Order: sequence, then C-alpha cells, then structure tokens
Amino acid sequence: MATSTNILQSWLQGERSIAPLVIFRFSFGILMFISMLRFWLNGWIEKLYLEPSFHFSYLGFQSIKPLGDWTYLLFGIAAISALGLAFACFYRISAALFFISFTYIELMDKTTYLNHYYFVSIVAFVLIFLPANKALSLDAGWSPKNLNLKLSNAYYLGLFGLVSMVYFYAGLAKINSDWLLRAEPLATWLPGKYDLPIIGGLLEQKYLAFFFSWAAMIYDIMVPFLLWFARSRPLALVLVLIFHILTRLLFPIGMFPFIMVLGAFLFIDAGRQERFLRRIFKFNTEANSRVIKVLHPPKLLHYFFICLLAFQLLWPWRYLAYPGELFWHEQGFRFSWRVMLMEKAGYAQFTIKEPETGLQFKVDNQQFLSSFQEKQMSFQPDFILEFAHHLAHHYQSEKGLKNVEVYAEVFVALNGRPSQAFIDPNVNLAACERGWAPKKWILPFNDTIYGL
Amino acid sequence: MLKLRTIIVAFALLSILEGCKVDASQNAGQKDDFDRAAMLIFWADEIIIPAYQDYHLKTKVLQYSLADYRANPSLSTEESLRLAFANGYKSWQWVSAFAIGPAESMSLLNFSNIFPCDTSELLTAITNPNLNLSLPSTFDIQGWPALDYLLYGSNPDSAFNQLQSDPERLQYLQILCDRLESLARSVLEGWTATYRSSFVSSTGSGADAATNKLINDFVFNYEKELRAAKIGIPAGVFSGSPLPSRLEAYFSDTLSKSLYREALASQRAFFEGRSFSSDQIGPSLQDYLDYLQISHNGEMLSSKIINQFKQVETLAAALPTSFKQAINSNPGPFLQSYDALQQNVIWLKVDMMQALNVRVDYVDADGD
Repeated sequence: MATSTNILQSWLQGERSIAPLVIFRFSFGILMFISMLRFWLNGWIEKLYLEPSFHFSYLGFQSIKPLGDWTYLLFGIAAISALGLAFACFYRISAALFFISFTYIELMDKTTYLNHYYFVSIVAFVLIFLPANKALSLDAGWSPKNLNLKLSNAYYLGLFGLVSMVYFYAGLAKINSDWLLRAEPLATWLPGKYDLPIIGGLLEQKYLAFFFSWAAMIYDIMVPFLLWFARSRPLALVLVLIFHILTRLLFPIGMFPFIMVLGAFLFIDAGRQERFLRRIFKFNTEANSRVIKVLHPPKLLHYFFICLLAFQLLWPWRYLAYPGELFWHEQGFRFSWRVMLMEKAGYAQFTIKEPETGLQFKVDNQQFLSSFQEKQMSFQPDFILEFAHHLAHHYQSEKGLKNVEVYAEVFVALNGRPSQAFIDPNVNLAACERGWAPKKWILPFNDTIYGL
Repeated sequence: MLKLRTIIVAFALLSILEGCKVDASQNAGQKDDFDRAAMLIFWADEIIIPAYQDYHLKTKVLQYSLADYRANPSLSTEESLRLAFANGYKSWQWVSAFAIGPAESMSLLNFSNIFPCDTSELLTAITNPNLNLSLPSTFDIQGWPALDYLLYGSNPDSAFNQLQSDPERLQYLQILCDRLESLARSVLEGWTATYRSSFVSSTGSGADAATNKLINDFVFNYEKELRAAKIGIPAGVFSGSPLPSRLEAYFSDTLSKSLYREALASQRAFFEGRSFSSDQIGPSLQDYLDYLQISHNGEMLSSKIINQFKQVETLAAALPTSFKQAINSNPGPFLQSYDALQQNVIWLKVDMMQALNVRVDYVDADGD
C-alpha cells in the first residue's frame, strides 16, 4: 500500500503537455454537440420527454421534470454550451452550463438512464475545473503558442482515473456465472444479428458468445493497465478500437463507443499529441518549443479529485448491503458501470382496490405510460413502486376513490430463464415507501447467479 | 508504433461504419440456420395473402347481398345480408393481426373495427352529405361495428324497417359496405402488387424488419384486440364492473362469441404456421422457438404456449352463447377466460420476445 501511494505521489509530481487535454476538450465538445443534435433529429425529445404524461424520477430529484416546450431550449443550451466547450469560448461558463443542462436532462426521467450518460455528466463536471482553455482556445485568441504549456499530472488524475474506473468496474461486473459460464446475455443477443456482413453467419455459434464474453471481461479489466504504461499502450489502443467498433456494430449503443475511444486517446503519449497539434497549426520551430511554464492545480483540486475517485471506487459496492440477487432486485445496480449484463423483460399488471366499496379493477398501463416507459417499468422494482404510487394518487385525487390500494402481478424473465413472479401480489404497494431500505416485496429469484 | 494519424483514420472508420450499419441491417437475402426467409414467404403466401383474399371476397359478397336486398327486400334477402355481414366480420378476425405494409399505411384496423360504435354520432353522420369517412374522427362510425348497429340496432326486429323507411340510412349502409370492400381490395392489391416482395426480402434483424414488425403486431393483437378488447374490457377487468356495451358485435348479440373464437383460432394458426388455404403446415414461431431450443424446466416454451391456447379455447367454447346477457349477470367465466388469456401474454410478450430477440423501440441501449 505504501509503495503504491509512493508511485502515485511521484506520478502526481510529474508533468505533461496540455495537448491531450486540448484534444480531448475539443473532440468531447464536438461529440456532445452531435449527440444533442442526434437526439433532437431522432425525435427523441418529443418521444421521451414531451409525449408521456408521467415521468419516472430519481429519489431526491422528484422535482426535476421535463419543461414542456422549453425542453427544446434545454437541449439547445446543452448543444451550444458543448460547442463552447469544444472551442473553449467562455470555457468555464460553457462547461458549467453543459454539465448543468445535460445532468438536468438525465434527471428528468430515469427511464432513459444509461451508464454513459452518467459518465458524460461526471466528465463534464471535472472539465469545469481543468485549464483546458489555456491553449488553442477562443478565450485565448486561438493562438497555438500556448501549446508550450505543461500541466502537472495532477490535472490529469481525474479523467485518467474515471476512464480506468469505468473499464475496470465493467470488467469486474462481468465476473459472474451468467456471463462467463452461460455466455448470457450475449448468447441471446448475438444470433439476432445474423444479418451482419461477414461475421453474421458465425454469430449463432455458441462458442462465439463464450469467446466474446470471456474476451470482453478480460479486456475490460486489463485495458486501464495497458493504457497507463507506454510499452503496452499501442496494443491497448488497437484493442480499444476493435472492441468498440465491434460493439457499435452489434448493439444499439449510440454514442458510447465514441466517448470511450476519446477517453482512451487521452492516454496517448502527450509529446506525440503535442507534435500532432504543432504540425496542424504550423507551430514547429525550435525556438517555440521551449517550456514557458508548468501549471499546478490548487491543493483543493487534489482533494476534490481524490474524493471523487474514492466515491467512484466505493459507490458500486453498495449493492452488498442488499440481500438477494442484484440482477434480480437491481438495488444498487445503477451508477456502478454494470453494462450489457442483462437481458431482462417483464410484464406488469396492476390492480386497484378500494376496500370500503369492494371496487376492484385492473389498469391499462398505456393509459399512463409510453411503450418504452412501460417496458422499462415492467422489470425494475423502483419503477414499479413509483408507478403504483402514481396510480394511487391518480385514482384518489382525480377519480375520487378513497384509501386506494395498489397490487401488482409482475412476471420477469432474466437472461433467458423462464419468466417467474417478481413482486408479491399480496402487498399493497401504495403503502410501501420509496427509499433506500431493502424492498421486501420483491419475490426471491428462483435461481442463483454466482460471482460479483 | 501507433501513429496518431492512424488512430484518427480508425476513428473516422468507426464513424463510417456507423453509417454502413444501417445498410447492413437492411441487407436482404441473408439467412441464419433458421430460415427466416422461408418463414416470411410462408407467412405471405400461405397465411396473409390468402386471408386477405378471403376477406376481400367476403366484402364483395356483402356488397352483392346488399344489392339483392335493395332490389328485393324480403325476409330471405335480409337474412342473407346478415349472414354476409357475419361471415365478413369473421373473416376480418383472420387479417386483423397483420397490421403491416398496406394495412398499416391505410389504417385498415382503425377504419374497419373500432368499437363500440358511437351511435349518436353515426345518426348525425347519416344526414351529413359532406361526410368524409377518411378522417380519424370517423373511426367509430364506420366499419363492422357500424354495420352491426345498422343491421341489428337497439331492436333487431325493426332494424330493417328503419332501413326501408329512411333512404339516407340505407344509403349510409351502402357507403360503409363499399368502403369496407374498397379498403380490403386496396390492401390485397398492395400485397400482391408490390409489398409481398419487399416483405419476403426484409429478413434483417432491425426494428423495421418484417419479422420483428409482424411479431410485434401479432403480440399486440393478442394483448390488445383479443385479450383486452374482446374479453377484458367488456367483462369489467379494467373498470370494476361489466361493460356489455363495449362488446364486439354488441347489437347482433350472439356473434360476439363466434368472433372471439375465430380470433383465437387465427392467432393459434399463425403461431403454429397453419396455412390459411390448405392443410399445409409451414415454418412458424413455434418452429423458431423450438429451433432455438427454448424450454422451461424440460417443457418446450412453444408447447406451453400451445397448451395455453388450447385451454383458452376450451374455456371459450364453454362461454354462454349470448355474451351480452351473461356478462352482466355472471362475469365469472369471462374473468376466468381473461386470466387464461393473460398467461399467454406473459409467455408471448416476455419469454418468446426475449428468446427471439425482438426489439420494440428504437432507443439507445447501454454499452460497455
């Protein structure tokens, strides 16, 4: 432990060119701009935020809801501030605006939760505090001369740490019997992609699902280490490209591969990145290459990065506090870099009861939810509870029923297993509180999944 | 050593692949070992097109019967008109699930079978010479439910007297029958002229591919049209007390049961891959599940689904002849039917859709 602290200490005292941060800032900003545009053009603002009459919210953020037609403005702000970030125009304000607007968008409805959106939010937050506008920025007159600037490695700690953490934890999460011994969910997903050119025909082979499963696990765990060290870095970059091109071809995962590839590029030798920028901006003379100065972060920023990374390191383990199978009850599943681990689907049917009159009827979910919301709700307990509360509220305050009770019959299938009952049908969900406490009304999983 | 430029080229390549991906998923003619193309051909040539041919034929018969009746109103022409109506409505049950291609673009379902019919709206519409029946606001005053009202009405004994005494009413009946026939003809022609070939060649796995869309349509039809509209809603499952007026074919009374049983038979036939026009059995969802060896505790998922279909059919056969009268006084058997139908919703929508990897929505998923 002492030696690794020493290694970290000496690494933090090192320095490197500002170039990797400048390239990252620029490409991340552009990517986010495209990403916002793509969301808009796909009609997803309308479909995900404006059409549904009800939205699922995160515990503690219940007041954050879509803003009606103003939601477009929100996306507009995110898109423009992403450009501001790319060109470092009013850099700090742009970064802060992007962080706030993007995070707000993600908090509006948790139906759309994706790990990489969470990742984007954290990265944007970290960027606010980095001096990424000190070179090649509109703030500094777009002059390449500041390419001579060097940054203390401490400035890079946050981003390096985050990228490494995402890979490493995604790899750890794959160490489980479903992923490694049953090759699920890949064995379910891959055959459906039989129409891909060249590899399409192979995808139905079980051994390929096993190969991909094991390779992805080893890849995810190894890649952060391979990226840190100069000797293994070329190999790591080749693997990163192959891996993300493949996942992009096989799965509908949007912008994620691009974001992760950018993250991996950060690790490329800083001198090389600097020379690349110098060539592009014709700023190559000997005289210009002497170091002007090295920027050091304030002490406070050190602590901030360390706290951030410590939180990231610990937070994914909160699931250990909940009894039962994580994949089944999903308590502590989100915000932990558990990606592509499950093929889960469900069907939920709610019954409304008014005890005093004996009135009893079932609910047509689509009267309240979009088909995407209904699909996501049907297998995630916190969604089911929130929807049950919404139903109780609806029938009490709008339909005038008294002391409404809400019961749910839910069937869920996980990773190719037969569907089984998911929620105790005898529990009145209207009387169950939202919160961090274990949800006792989730029925136990009929099978066992070993591993992390 | 890896040059930065190489990496940028690779990144650009990733972007280009992004573009190609869309084409790849639409790539026609590629097969996996389970021959989806053969299944699509069988569905098109042996199930869907023959069912539409039959349906169109029945709407023509309806037109002829109406012409006979108008030329010579008598007890016998009245009866053949009602019979043509019943046969047409039954035939509809064999095409209603295939809301894909021309049927989808023409909103065939919405114009043919939205019930209950809004009778007061219908009575005003009759007197409106400028009525435009292609507007969505007219869904519930046309198609089979509107015919059901015009041919039986609140008092079946006087329905034909009303038609005879009110030329506008008779004319409206004519318009509705012509419209059913022309819609059926357009959809059928759409299939035979162009859509069949794009349907059978759309073997891809994208959300827009024919297999995915049709499976979605099939499950949607089972859940919404069969389970909810025919049984659940009128039996009061979603309201707490029975709503007989929400029954399909409410006015002709005993027809509700036949329509329900026809719909069940057509759903099961599609799942099992039974030809509409012959005894042939072809590649089907059942085969696809079996090919993927989807079993639950030693029992094939496909046989669980089929057994459940059989159980629902047994319960359906035992239901009283008049849904309208029985559903109020004794909703129990209907609720029992609903529960049996519900079980298959879970197996079809959760287990089958998962096994066949059918996607519903186009939204980003998580990546690693």
